[in-house]
Amino acid sequence: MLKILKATWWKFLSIPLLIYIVAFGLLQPIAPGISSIHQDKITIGEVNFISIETYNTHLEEAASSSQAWLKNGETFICGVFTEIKNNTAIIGFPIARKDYEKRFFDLIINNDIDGTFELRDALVPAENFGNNSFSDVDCKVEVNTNESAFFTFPNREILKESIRNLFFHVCMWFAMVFLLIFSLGSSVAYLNTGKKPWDTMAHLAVVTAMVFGALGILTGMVWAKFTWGAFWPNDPKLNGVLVAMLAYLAYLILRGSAKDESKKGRLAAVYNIFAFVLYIIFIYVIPKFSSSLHPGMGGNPAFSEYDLDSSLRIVFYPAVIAWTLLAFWLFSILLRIELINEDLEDQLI
Amino acid sequence: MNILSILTVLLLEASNTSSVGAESWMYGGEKFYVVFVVILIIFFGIFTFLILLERKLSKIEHQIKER
Repeated sequence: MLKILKATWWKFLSIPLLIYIVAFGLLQPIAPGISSIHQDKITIGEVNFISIETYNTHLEEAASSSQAWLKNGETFICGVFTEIKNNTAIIGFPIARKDYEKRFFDLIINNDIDGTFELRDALVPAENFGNNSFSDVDCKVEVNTNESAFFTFPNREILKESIRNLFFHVCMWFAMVFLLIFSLGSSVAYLNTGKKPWDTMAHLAVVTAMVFGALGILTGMVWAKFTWGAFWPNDPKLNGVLVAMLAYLAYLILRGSAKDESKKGRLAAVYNIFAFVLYIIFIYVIPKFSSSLHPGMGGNPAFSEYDLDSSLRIVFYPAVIAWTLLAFWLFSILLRIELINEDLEDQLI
Repeated sequence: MNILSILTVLLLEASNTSSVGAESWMYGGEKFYVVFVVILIIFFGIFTFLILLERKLSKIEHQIKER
């Protein structure tokens, strides 16, 4: 094991991977989207002119192929572009007086360059009604949607550009979990063989994992503030990880407090196994059965369900590998320094 | 894409945040700055770890020299 940790090839592998994920992860544009809409009320029975601002789109270039429509359940209302300037547009929608299936209208735009993009639940009917009577033409037949001509990351509401944090914040936790699994393995090996380097390995893997856990929490807090609105929303996953990290902190304190060398090692190893089980329960099991803001928990749509699409995957998987390799690199340096330290102390005795 | 322009705007906006409040600029650029700050935090974290290694190593160097 020590031989692999001292080998250099996997450490150098992390360098191109990190360059790749930082460059690709930051420079690749996110999909076209509607960033703001200047009103949220529409009047039924009138022609409504809606002014929108879009992001990463080519509205003006693709003006000739632009289509817009409002969608309410199965009903489509076709719009007419009255003005297009750069990435903003004004669209007129004749909205017939009739009963609509749903309360909210989705706004959908399509053109040849950007493909189809939408703003869900964009508009809501006002209290008053207009007097114009339109024939209720369902223009669904004319609707033609197409894919974007560009390769992009998904543009999700609220997340927007911060979806790129998937390659940074989420990977901190993956690096932490892999280090903790390594630590668990070392503890089991120590219990089997009783060789001291295994104990040192388990201990320092936990120390490194705590550093990455702290980074995961800090980066998560910043991300949460600007997407969920608070640095520490009352979320089972956040509280769970805090408890789990305190359990590991207890491991570090426990290991430091025992005096007798072999007793200390065995006690720490057994507690490490216990702490790992606790960690898994608090991070994966409990949030799964309660409602959490995090994706993939408690019925919340997971990234993996529809949004961890191929464009995110080709950066996300290398990112997990890259950050994990970097974490193990840092850990191996820490370990080797500590092993030299222990050698020195042994020589003193 | 306009990442480069976002970065220049970042520098400009960082210099005059006083009127809008210190946090609100993070919402700009379609929340791109959030990623920027997250990367900064990770950088600081890794450098903190390096300083920790540095200190441990100096201590050992000192011990070896003493003997």
